[in-house]
Amino acid sequence: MGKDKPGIVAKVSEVLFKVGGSIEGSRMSLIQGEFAIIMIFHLSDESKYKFLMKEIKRVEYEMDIEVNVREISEDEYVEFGKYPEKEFILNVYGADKPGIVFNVTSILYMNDINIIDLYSDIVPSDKGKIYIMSITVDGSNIPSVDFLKNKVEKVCREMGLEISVQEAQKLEM
Amino acid sequence: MANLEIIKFPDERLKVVSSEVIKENENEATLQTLIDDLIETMYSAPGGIGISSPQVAVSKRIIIVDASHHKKTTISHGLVVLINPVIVYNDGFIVVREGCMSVPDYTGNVERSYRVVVRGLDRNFKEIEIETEGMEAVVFQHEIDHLNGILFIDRIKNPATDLFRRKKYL
Repeated sequence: MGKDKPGIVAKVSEVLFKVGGSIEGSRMSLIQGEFAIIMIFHLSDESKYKFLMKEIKRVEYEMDIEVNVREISEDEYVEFGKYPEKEFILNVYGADKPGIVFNVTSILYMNDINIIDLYSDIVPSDKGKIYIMSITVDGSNIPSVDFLKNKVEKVCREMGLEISVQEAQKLEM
Repeated sequence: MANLEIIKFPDERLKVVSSEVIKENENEATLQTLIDDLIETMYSAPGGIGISSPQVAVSKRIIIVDASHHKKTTISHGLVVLINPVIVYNDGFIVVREGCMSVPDYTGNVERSYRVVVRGLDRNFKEIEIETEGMEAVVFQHEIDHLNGILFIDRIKNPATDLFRRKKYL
């Protein structure tokens, strides 16, 4: 991660290519000029690890970014393509105030609901700033839209936030 | 009837534009068997709500749709066989996480028209027109795409970039 500039993805993936690593999944985000990416890659030749880290150091310096490399052990590795059966989307918005993310996500945590995607933005308006957040959750522990709505409605009401809950539409053809 | 093998990407035959079915050029029995096989193949798949002929490596403009057993379906015409289908009207939009037998283990958000009118021929070459919405409309669009060599992965959208990002990005 670091200040956004052209070439970060190219430089990092060049290093992975040079050590014979193959990139599996990757997700990049860009918010207000700040860049971040997470990449899962497979390094088949373990003897290249030292060289990999040396090259990463070089790219960190050249591009003025921070790179964190963590090995995923075989038993914690999750095969790509494993999606939850059900997913729900919560859209929360209202006048900005401290604690929106904390309060909403705490309720989810207390109910053992895992977040699989989240993004939020702050949007100016005539009457101050509006906070908009969209959360996608794993629906394994959620029997219905109403169940999830009941869980989060109280805290949203207390904080003066609007909330809408929907089940992600899925269609396997 | 036979349960046919579904071809999977990167099989290049999925990227081909299928040809119109012309009654005079078809062997009636062969065509009817193909349709029956497509139906059986569709029903034996996990999703089982739609299939197109190119997915069984026959490059003809035939689709089968049955969205009746999907729990989110609002309108369903039951089992529909459509030859040379064309979308003649569309409006609205709906974003659905789609998956496809020809692209296993992958799903992605695709924006489709919410409402469509589809015209084509039934299995007896009688002209039919179907007006539908929601899930069934999505299945028609997904299957007709197959006839044009288009997969849902050609149409994937990221909802995050759609909903809130308006300004400062262009």
